[in-house]
Amino acid sequence: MSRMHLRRRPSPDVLPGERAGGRPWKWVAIGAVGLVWGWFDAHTRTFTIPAEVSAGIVIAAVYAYAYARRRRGRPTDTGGVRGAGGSNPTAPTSGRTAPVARRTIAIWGAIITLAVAWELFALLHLPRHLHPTFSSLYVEASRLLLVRVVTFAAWLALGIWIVLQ
Amino acid sequence: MSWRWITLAGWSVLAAAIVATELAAHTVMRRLQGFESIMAFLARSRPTRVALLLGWGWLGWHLFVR
Repeated sequence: MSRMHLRRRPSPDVLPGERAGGRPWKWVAIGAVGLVWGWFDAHTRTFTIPAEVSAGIVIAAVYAYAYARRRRGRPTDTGGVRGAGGSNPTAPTSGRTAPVARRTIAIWGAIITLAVAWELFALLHLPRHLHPTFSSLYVEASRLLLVRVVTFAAWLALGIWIVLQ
Repeated sequence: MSWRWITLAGWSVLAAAIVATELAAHTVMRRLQGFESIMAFLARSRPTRVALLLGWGWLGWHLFVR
């Protein structure tokens, strides 16, 4: 089998924000919440209780959302959506199953493998300032408030996106 | 050239490769799909979706709390 089931490319009439089963305004709202929360989080210091509470609330909320979606029975493992229109085999299911060439897996797999290898190489060598890891680079970059706010918002959006799959 | 610059060069090459591949997937190489497709593929089954969520939580904790 030379092709595997992966996410279908959206048709031209599908807006980017609709790919993960949501409307564009949802992602605008999620981004806004992420930026506001990230702004508050950026004023906490690492290794402190406020930082733990700030990140812990977001993680707990996303996990609770994932659990609630699972309890409601969507999405299913077959990619269908139960509920309104879910029993209709012709109903749209957010374009979950479509083939993709192995080329995609090979290229992204190679990049991810190299990134993991480079991270491990840096991690296993000291001193850290000579062998910066991904997170140590982030620590340096996060001295800029904007970097931390945007990173936090992107992280929150990624979590919700995973839940919506 | 110190090890710091070598390591930073490696990260830069990886970042450039990610951006270039993503751009190519959305422009010239229509048969190549973006990183979102790989994530969506992994998120299709429950165990890998749970693993992705656990990894996401760990990443956030590691970056913002440590």
